[in-house]
Amino acid sequence: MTDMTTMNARSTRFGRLGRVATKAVALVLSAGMLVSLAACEGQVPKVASADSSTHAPDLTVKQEEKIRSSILDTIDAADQAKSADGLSARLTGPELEIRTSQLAVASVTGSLDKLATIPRGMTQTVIPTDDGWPRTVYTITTTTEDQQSKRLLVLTQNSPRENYKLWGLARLFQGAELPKFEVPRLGTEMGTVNDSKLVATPAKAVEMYADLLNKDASSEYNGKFEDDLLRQELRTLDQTVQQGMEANKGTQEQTFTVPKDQIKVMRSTDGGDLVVARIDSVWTRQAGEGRESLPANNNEKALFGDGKATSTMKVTYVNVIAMYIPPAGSHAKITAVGAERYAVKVEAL
Amino acid sequence: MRLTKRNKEPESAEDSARKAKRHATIMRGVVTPIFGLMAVAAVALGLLNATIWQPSRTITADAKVTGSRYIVTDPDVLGLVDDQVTVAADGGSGTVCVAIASSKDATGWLAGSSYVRLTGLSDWTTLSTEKASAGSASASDEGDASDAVAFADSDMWRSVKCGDGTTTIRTKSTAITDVALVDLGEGNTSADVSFTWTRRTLPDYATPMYFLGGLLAVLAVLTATVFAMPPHKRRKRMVESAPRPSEEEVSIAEAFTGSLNAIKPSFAPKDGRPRRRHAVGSDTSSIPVVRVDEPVVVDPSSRNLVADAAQQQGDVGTQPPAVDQVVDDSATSVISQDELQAYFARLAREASEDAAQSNGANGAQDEHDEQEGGR
Repeated sequence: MTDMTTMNARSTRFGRLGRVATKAVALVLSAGMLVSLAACEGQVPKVASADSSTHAPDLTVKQEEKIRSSILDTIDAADQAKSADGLSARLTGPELEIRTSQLAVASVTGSLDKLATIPRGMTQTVIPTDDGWPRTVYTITTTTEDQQSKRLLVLTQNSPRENYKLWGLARLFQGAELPKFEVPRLGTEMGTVNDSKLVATPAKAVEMYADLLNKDASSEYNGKFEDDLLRQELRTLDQTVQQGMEANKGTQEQTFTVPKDQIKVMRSTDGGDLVVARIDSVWTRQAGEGRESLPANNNEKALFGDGKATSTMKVTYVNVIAMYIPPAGSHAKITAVGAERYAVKVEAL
Repeated sequence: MRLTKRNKEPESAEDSARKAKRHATIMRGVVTPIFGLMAVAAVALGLLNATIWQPSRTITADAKVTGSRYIVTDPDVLGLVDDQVTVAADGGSGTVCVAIASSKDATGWLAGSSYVRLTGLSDWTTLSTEKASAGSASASDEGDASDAVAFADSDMWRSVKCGDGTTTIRTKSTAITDVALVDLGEGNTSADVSFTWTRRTLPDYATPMYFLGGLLAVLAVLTATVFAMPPHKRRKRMVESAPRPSEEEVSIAEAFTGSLNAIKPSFAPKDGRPRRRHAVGSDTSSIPVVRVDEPVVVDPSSRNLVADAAQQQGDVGTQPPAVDQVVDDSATSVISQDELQAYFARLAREASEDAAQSNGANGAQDEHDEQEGGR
């Protein structure tokens, strides 16, 4: 009984102590809150650690437009002057050679080839997300004012201290179907020449296409490719020239070779690659019966100029081929979707 | 235990009243003013925060940088305070350029050179810096020297501004990966870089203070009123109330006599059948109605058991034991008729003795009493 009473008394005492302590703590806390809330500017913001794995596109659409405009301005300036001086600041690779040749022809004929027109409008741009260099941007222009087909522009930046340059241009075939790419805001992953999981690696596909151009239907790769406009045109040209050559017992031969490392690859959303590659070709025409071999068209003529014709004429062409390689397992064939072909050198041997 | 507590309570009634008074004094005299003062202070601080202590809309932080041609911010430093930021670089002389670029482009440009990183704000007016050096550029990255472009002409920058000696660039809503890259020009290695953010939304400290003030005021009012009351006054049920006096005082003797008179005529068995006290036609006209009431539910917690106990002690010897058995529940009763009759006989004898001894002075009532009244 006594124990109970003392315990009671003690517990009440503890209870009172506890209550006093609680009140004291509450007081101190609220006072502390008052002080901290009265701080002037608040907490200094801390830098959030950026996620390094974010794959932001290398360029914005605005930047791409600015770059493209700068390139086209350079080309326009050269067109006006009909001189290739200064082109190398914004052009490189096969397009530099082709444009230089086109300007050389224009300086002779007085006007630029209609096919050399590059529209300023853009219908689609494919911007890479890759961190390293070189970087490649694909841009598809609008059709030209005279309803020529769209141009596929290939821009590359070789190193961070360099600027983007127009590396290649392919005139898309009428009705050619391009694969789908990620929107520029998300960016696209660049492919490599050894991309697997395709019906053929890009490097191999270009080799096969060159073989196809050399041998046409007799090539072992004929079944892997859809027929396309370039091959049809070359076939027609070949037959026409062949007929003429046979008439005077001459010969003609066109050889296509694939130069090293002249290929750009971009991955589409369906798993395939859109590949743009350079294929060089040499067209050797030998006239028979002591006749002279002459340029085959106006461009060649302009390039040949006042040169002395001989029985043999060797014309070097630069070809740019754009082709779509479907992913492995699909039953689609590799399809050329665009091409550019221009004579860059005409010599009489 | 329970009994002990209850036993003490009547003694400490005065004590508890004194305690309650003291409690009220402390609550009203000490706690309420404290809460009141704090409420006033909170509102005052809120007012101050809304006026003279209002956070400034523009935040300017700068850093003196030496020893490097390039200065680059870390990702997210540009948008640290707000989306809108003005970056100013004062290099003293030569062409100074500031570019906004993605961090990977800046890293690409800086390959092979040393630079100073601006890593964030060390306080509201100072940018923290850190020296860094990018690994030597690989051969492929270097490119042809002839192809290299000037800083201002690079395609990679989202935007770029150059100036003679000093330049400023304004940018808004940059991505988290965007950085500012400052090129002080060849041979120039010291500069003063400042970032000015314009805050669109200022931190609001006034509203929480007003809210706190309101809460404290409510607390002050509560402590002055509800919390200052003695606990039993705050509650609905009276815990320490005195035993409830019943409306009518009927002595046990009277009650018993009344009952007895009603029962007596039926004591002699008439037909040998069990008697049904409440059966229709039984003679109850002579029973004095003590209380006509619903069956009373007895809440032991509302009864002063202490008083009852004391009463029981005073009546020791005169109170019949085990009175609980008289509960009116003939339907469920387990008491035989004979037992009942013997019991009533004894009761009558006791009652007459009681009445002879002293009539009255016995107003005590217990549970039994209440149940009897219900009959």
